[in-house]
Amino acid sequence: MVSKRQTAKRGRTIREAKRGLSRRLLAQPGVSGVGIGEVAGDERIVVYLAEDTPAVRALVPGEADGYPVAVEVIGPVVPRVVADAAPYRPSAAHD
Amino acid sequence: MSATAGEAAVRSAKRSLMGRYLTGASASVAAFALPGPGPTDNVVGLGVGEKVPLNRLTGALAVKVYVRRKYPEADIAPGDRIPDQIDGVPTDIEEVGTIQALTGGCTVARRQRQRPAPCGISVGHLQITAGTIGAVVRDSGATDNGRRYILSNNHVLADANASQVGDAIWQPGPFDGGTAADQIATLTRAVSLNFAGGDNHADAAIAEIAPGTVLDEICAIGPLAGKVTPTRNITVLKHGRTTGLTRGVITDVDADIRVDYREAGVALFVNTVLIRGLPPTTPFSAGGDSGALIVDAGQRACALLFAGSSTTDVTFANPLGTVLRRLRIRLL
Repeated sequence: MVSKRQTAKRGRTIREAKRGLSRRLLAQPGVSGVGIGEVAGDERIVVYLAEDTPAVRALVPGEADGYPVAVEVIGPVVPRVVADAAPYRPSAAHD
Repeated sequence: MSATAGEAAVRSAKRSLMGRYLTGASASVAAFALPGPGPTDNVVGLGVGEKVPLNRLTGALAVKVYVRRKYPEADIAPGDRIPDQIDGVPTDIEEVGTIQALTGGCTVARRQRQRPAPCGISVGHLQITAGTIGAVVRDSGATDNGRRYILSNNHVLADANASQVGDAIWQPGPFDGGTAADQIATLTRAVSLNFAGGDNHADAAIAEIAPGTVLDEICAIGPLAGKVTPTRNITVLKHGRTTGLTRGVITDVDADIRVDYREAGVALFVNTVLIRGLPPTTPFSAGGDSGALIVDAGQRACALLFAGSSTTDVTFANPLGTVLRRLRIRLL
């Protein structure tokens, strides 16, 4: 386990390791994000998947710069605006 | 670790507490009045959750007792104290502040026209569907000459870059029936979104308020008490157009994410804040809550909601400090 204050063997912080991994993985449509979460008080890099397929899972390394990498499937991320294919159009009565 | 209570036992214990504390009396207490330490004044909600909500993997279920204010045990009459256990199930008392309620949380029809409009309800650029008014802000520093703006997302107030300064902003947003007769503001400026693979830091914009149309307060949250840097494991609240008042917990403040803006393109964001809903208000947000301001339990502003998963209870926000800096604005 890696605690908050330690840096891993290559001397990069967990934030630097996360950034390195996110630069690599975010080009992939099957990946929604890369961040840092906590499990029982220990920080770890988390790869958030848009889709759970063997091909996408194969992209995720077990560790990055010595930090363990966890995986969580969250689905695709979209703006939180009202999503509607046919948005309301003002009627003539309102013009 | 102690034995974990079964979910059925926890729910039964919650029902038993409901009869004892949520008799309707607490709902009549004025939202901003200081509650007394007795349970009928102070308890605003009950839920089922983990005894230590931040350590998700320890998993011990408890009855959550949401109170307006936590009092030292000595200040509470012995008969009024919330027991440590109920029918063998542990209780967990959590302070949620002087909010109006835990579900829904407002009496305002938040998808309809309101004048004046509080923050936290429907708004939109004339070409979009609908999002949420986040907060009222002013220019920072020497440029401040008293102009008031609504703060929301670029994709709510500026149609994800497809807009011009001076465009009309409607309350409610077009999807909720807003028209040119419902204009409350005009687009002033936005942080431009990069759809070419570069880093984005904020999906944010401001629009100058037409006099008398928008209140400073956020629906069901009230006035802000300053700002705070988002950190993992803190409890947060927001009031938005679609899901109203919800509570959640921040579990990541370093999330680099890929957001699909459909026809506009894909935008990569760095260092976003991830929030998950807390029972009973899950999910933390849904489509239409874009632009909602996220505050901590002390009503301090901490982030601007802008994205989320459509399949899981995962919401993303930009840290408020980044938003304020990039738009050169400040809170009231």
